[in-house]
Amino acid sequence: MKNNIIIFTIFTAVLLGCSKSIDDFGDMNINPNSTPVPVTSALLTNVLAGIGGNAVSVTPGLYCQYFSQTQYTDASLYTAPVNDFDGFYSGSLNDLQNIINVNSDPKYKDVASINGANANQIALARILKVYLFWYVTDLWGDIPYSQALSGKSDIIYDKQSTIYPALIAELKAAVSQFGPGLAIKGDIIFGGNNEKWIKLANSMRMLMALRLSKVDPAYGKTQFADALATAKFIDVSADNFVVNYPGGAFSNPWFNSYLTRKDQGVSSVITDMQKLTLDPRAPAFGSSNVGIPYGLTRELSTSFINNNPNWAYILGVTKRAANSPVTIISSAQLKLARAEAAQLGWTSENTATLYAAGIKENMIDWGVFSQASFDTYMKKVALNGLNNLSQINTQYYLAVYPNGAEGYSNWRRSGFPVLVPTRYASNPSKLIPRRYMYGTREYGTNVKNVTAAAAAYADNSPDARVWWDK
Amino acid sequence: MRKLLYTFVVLFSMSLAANAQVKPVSLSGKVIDENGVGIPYASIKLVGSKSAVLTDADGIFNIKNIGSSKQLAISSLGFKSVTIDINSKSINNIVLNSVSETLKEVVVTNAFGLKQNLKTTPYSVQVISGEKLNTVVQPNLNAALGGKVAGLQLRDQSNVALGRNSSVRLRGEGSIGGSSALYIVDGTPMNSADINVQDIESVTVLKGANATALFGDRASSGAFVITTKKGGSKKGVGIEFTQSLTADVVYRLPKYQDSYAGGDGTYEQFAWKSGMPAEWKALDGKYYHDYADDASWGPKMTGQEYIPWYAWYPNTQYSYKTAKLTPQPNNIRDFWNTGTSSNSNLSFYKNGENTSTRISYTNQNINGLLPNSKQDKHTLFITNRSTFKKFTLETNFSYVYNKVLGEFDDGYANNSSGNFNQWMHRDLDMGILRELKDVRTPEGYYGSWNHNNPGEYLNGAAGPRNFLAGNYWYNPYKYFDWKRPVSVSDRIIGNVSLSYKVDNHLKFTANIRRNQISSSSENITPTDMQLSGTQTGDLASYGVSSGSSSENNYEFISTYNNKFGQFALNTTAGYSLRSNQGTSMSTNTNNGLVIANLYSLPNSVNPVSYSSSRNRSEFRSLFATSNFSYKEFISMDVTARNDFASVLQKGTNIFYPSVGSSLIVSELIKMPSFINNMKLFGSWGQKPLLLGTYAFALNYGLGANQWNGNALMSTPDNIIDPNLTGSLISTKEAGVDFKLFNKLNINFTYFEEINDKQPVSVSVSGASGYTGKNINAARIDKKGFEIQLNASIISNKIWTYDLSVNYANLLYNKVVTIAPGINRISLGGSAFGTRGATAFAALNETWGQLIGSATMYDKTGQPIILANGYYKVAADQNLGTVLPKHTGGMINTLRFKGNLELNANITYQFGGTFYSLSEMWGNFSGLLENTATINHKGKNVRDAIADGGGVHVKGVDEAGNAVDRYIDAQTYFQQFYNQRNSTPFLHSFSYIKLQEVSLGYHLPVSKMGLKKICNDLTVSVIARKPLLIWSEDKMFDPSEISPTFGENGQFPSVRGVGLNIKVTF
Repeated sequence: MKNNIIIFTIFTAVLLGCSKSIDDFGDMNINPNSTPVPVTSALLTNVLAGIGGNAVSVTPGLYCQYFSQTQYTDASLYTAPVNDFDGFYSGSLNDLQNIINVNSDPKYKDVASINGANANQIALARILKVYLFWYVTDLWGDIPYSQALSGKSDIIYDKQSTIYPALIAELKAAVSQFGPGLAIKGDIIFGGNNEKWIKLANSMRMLMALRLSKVDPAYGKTQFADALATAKFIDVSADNFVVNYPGGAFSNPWFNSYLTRKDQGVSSVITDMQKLTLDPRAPAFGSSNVGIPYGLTRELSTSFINNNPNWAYILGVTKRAANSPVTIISSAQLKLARAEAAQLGWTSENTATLYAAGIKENMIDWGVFSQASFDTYMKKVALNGLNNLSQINTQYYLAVYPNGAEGYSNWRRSGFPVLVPTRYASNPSKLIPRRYMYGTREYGTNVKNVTAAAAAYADNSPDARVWWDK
Repeated sequence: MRKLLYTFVVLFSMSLAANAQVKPVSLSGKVIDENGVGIPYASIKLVGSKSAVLTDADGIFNIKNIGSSKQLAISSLGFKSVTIDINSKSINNIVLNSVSETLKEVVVTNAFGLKQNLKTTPYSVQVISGEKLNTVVQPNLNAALGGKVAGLQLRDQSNVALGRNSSVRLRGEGSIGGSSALYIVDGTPMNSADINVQDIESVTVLKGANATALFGDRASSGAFVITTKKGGSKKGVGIEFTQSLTADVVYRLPKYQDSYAGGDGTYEQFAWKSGMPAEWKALDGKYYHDYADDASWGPKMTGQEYIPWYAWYPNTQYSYKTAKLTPQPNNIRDFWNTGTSSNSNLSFYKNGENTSTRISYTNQNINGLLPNSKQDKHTLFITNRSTFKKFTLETNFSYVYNKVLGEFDDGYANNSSGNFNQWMHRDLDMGILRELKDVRTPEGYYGSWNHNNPGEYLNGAAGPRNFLAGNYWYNPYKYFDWKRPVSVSDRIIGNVSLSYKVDNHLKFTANIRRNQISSSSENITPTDMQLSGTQTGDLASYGVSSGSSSENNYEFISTYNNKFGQFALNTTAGYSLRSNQGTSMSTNTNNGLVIANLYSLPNSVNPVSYSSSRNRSEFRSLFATSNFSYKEFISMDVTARNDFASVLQKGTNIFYPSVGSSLIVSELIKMPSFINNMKLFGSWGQKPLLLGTYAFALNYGLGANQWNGNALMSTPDNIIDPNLTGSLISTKEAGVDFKLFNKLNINFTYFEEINDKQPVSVSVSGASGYTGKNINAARIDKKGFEIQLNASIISNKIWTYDLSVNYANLLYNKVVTIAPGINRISLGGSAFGTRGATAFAALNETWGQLIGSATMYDKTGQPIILANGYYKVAADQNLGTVLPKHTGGMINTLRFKGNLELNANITYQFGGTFYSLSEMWGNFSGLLENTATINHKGKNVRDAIADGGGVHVKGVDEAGNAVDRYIDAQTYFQQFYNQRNSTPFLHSFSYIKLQEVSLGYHLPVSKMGLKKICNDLTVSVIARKPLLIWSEDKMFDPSEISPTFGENGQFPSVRGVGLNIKVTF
């Protein structure tokens, strides 16, 4: 019995000894594989490493007939473009929001400022946020904006008609936020040159203003002229918004797309157009001048591919090397936009001069410029006063190639070049889709708001048009 | 916390006080059956007194005070009672003779090795003997449990996938993402895949929180408590050798069409052109079907002359020769090898006075059905139990080595089943593919049936490769020559348990347990593969990964039991500590190799990708359990456990109790004589569902590569609710258990389980900046009942027939809440996402709801047909749950004259739906039988509509007018992909399967004069999964749908026959 009590006492003592720190585990539950506070420069690099992807998106490039599919042709036959936009928000946009949050948080802003002045990091992030929201609203129409990126659920959709002015205002505000300070780290586009970001912001403002040429020309005109008046916009190729891929783990997306596949090539719409006009850019646009007829069924397209083994891959082989750049916004594009603005009477610039300069700069960008071929080409695509809008927009269409999203948006707005839907279209309307449909994810996570938004587009129809598409 | 400790202290003080009694005249002994095995829970009555005791789980009893009694009356259900004289202080080995297997007492093992009599458990529990698990050799424990446990749904795997563990669900799904049960081997938590079934003595299956509350968080979906064989039943030395050999063949395959060849309809004439190999002139003017398209919408196979795929390659007997285009109805079956598996077990035991040892070695060696696949698994198991004075020392040690070779991908477009059922030419002769697997051009390209068309040959410098190399596919035989990833693991499990028995009432035990595994794998894609494919997506690569993890458990347990008159108390309390740690890393080359055929990391074209991770966690628990019983007919159990863990929010802990009671009615009131025993039981309990490590903060990791020296970091996609915590699952259970007519045992259990405020990662609108949110929100309720029936149907000197049947009905398994504004959570699934139906936890629906687009019907049930002939499709339809409503099985054991034994085990389930991705693509690609049937006009659906062909479509248009027309076959069968229509590919999970059969014969060793050599020699013929007796779906085997929630490209089901020899020395 005595023994029992001794043993029991020892046992209890052990238990109590353990209990003293029984709920203390120190830092054991802090993840050793990661950090709880983000590094803003690394977030920025992450966003910029992926931003070129928006200028190589295939589906809008199929809709504006830059490209044709070689084997699985369903997208070019207009199967329902049900696409989730969540990745833009939870990916790059939230990284940018995080840069803003960290640089605004009294707890972390001092640490973050070693990556560049807080205000400048915020201004840069705001510009990139506008770029991405602009991209998303152009494709889907009304989207979450004012309540987005808050971490909260039940997010309403904003009208595109309110998003556009908000984005333009945001660009203006961001430009005025830049100040002196340490160059921003992690900026793999402009190496921390704030001036270049300001030029990009103003250029975006001009392009967004032009998008409103039909729906709200008065506002468009004001904004375009205002941005032009800053005299800080992309006017030389050296200021282009361009991603210079280092190759290796970060290779040009077109290079990657042909690494083990050959799903799409240049459409005959492009090659025919170039053949007709003796366009010196043809060898840059495609690996040959054999464009694939647009919108064929699988059977017809595989048969075409078999019989035309030298069909044109997207871009000439030297233009899609692992380290080839991807241009997102260029001075050539801006000049053609300014040509249209002048044509619309929004500015007092010279249409013809800008038109020719835009084409020339684009040829220089592609490394195919020669005075002789340029002169020959200009004769084929000359402005005659009646055809100006059509010619300018067709040149814009070519100047932004192979940026499908921009080509598609500009075609939707301007109607140029005139594109004919494929006769094999599998969608009920047989028309070229005018927008992306809201994806299934939103119907699973934000059903009330997406349903309300979809109602404005004939119940999420791809045939319904976004606000500026008139 | 302190409060709880004081409770312990008070409890023990009471126990010790009760222990202070006058020393009695005692008697101890053991009750055994005719085989020498201790009989648990036999009743020992002192004749002439009211006193009675029960034997313990090993058949041992102690009587404190015999008083004036001279005789003991010993009885136990299922045995003939005996009365014996008391003539010494110790009576060893009182033998009772068995009368009925069905009625015998069963020992239930719960957490920390606590044993209880099934007769008094307040919850539903089943104990499966090792013998029943080893009817035939199954590749893993879960597969061996199929059909044997009420409420268990086996999700078996095709035996093509070597080393892949089958999984089980107990009572449907209680947690949103699905979770697995806890497996405990002799007290040590273990991965179910590495449990050697041949070392198992018994498995106790515990389901609800009322039964598993003492186990802690990992038993959130139930617990399998495994007791290993501890040595022979007899004293001395014994050796047992078992050898089984099994041959496995492919069982069910989809039904293919055998009328049309590969390609896409074009039948082209070859015209030789300058620049092509001169030998090809022999083929000039001959016809070929499109090689490049990997579908089978090609020309009709009528025995006509054509240029086969292999005619273009040099140096074979078929080079530059045409062949006849003929159907190959058995080509897919021909592809698969006959698998062979050998399972050997050698065990040795020695039982001494105070020590018993068992050593067992098992080798499982399998040559798989997939060419070149192999598995080699070795298990060594050593167990010892020694007693000296008041100490008992138990040690277990186990080592498992497992090596698996082969790529067992059965997802979309994998290179065996995904090739054959999704993208294929139906005219391929497997014999020739096998024969020509090494056919190679002078340039070094290996030949493929899916090369390009000859026009491609002249496409510049790359032309020959573009033509001769595989377009999307390789020769499957060559592919499996090339791809042979290796994975190896070493696992060591051991435990030491020391107990000190203070007296017959009080015992202290300390356990130390360790379970560690290190594993590595290596994967090579050879340079030849890169060279021999144009759009196959394979770049030469080398990858290697390794990891190790370990878990230590320390337990201090004290047990006290005593009887106070008619009142008995059995109480246990203790402390346990568990610590887990793991590290892993993986690396692989990127974008090809610089130097051909050199497989090392520095040979990578792009920078090597690498990742590493490490984790640690610790759990500290206090627990106590008490069983009170009165007069052996009413019994009450109470448990309590309090967990402190690094994975909980700082400063919080989690407490959960259970309480239950059983009443043996037959002891309380007089029952008709045919009722041997009747028990009513009811219980309630809680168990936790905890979060994993590092769950409370956003974790920003670095990207694997840098951009010119700039590091990349991205914001995690899941936002974390600041109040995130674990949750508690509550189970209520009630039931009745009858033992009748001396031969029948029926158990009926009803349960309800509520799993509220589960921590889940819900999908949130990406517009929030995050795609997921980790939050305590979801609630799933389950209700159901289970019936377990055991019967000794025949028991005479010549025949015995024992039958065990179980049936479970999942009455209700609904997702009651998810989170505000969230309708559903994706459970993952199909490779093609929303193209097909995928499984969700959807609000107000049964867990595992398939949601997708489907054909729309009008009020009268007619499909609505659009102007272009397509079915009108409605998005977001609920298409049924993946959970079967009814599950169960049957175990039959028939013995003849004690030396011939037939076992036949059946599993079944009814209800539940799956979506078949293979069937969708098999339709799209024109591979399956239904794409080339005869229509109502007597023509093949593939014939032109103008010629009477086409698929007959009937329904109504959108205005409700009748539609009756014919649609082009390819358009018709491809609409389902194009329109995302999942309707034709949804099938029932219902099936009845003969899972295991064995026919064994105990050779009459005495008569044969072999008695000197061996004690017993049994030869059995075994069949593994021999017959799918019935299934609603006829294309796939629903019992082996491999991925979690549907058919993505699964391997075919497999059946096997074999021979088993068991020798006991």
